[in-house]
Amino acid sequence: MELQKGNFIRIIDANQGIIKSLCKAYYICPEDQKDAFQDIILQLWKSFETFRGESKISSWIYRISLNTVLTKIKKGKTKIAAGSIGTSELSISIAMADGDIELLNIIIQSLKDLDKAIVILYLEGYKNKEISQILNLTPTNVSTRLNRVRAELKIKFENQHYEFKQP
Amino acid sequence: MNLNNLKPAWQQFRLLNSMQPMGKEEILFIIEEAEGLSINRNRFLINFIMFAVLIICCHGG
Repeated sequence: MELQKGNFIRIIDANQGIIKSLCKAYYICPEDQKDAFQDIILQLWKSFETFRGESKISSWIYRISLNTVLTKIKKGKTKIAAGSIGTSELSISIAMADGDIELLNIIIQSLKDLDKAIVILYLEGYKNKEISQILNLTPTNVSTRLNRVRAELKIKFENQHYEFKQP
Repeated sequence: MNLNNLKPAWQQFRLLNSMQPMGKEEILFIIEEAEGLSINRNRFLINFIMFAVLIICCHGG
């Protein structure tokens, strides 16, 4: 048991960036982020016993973390401000964005919960099929949602001129 | 707007968030606290069942 705990802590320690990024993507209030972080750690620990290493550790972390956050939001445990930014407010925010990370944050905050999960996994480099497996969706659903997000962003970016600092 | 343009920013964001990691003790505390709660719940359930059986026996059931 102690050995298992040691292994678990080592894995979490090496992948805290993923978990914290997801918490920040879904929750604005630091207290909510901390609460979500603890819930994710607990769920990861509960499923650690059944993790057989068939998938990559990062994929397992993304699967458990995103499903925990999405379930938590669905249950309405905490109110989030994300996903409520209108097109006009988003255009103003994009124009004022100072740096790629700030722009990324603005865009992520403007997305609906499930679309946000899909976009995050896409940005992480996962293919549509892998995203569908992680989120228990069909590949067609993932592809449709991604195309919709792309189309929405295209409209929102139409009159914006943002130069990415990193190619 | 190409989503691919945001990929380096996501990597950077993830890296930034790994800069101030939570301590190993704190992670251990989260999982051990949950285990403690679970043990207490089980103990309560066992005691409740034993008490119920005892009450039924005392009533001559």
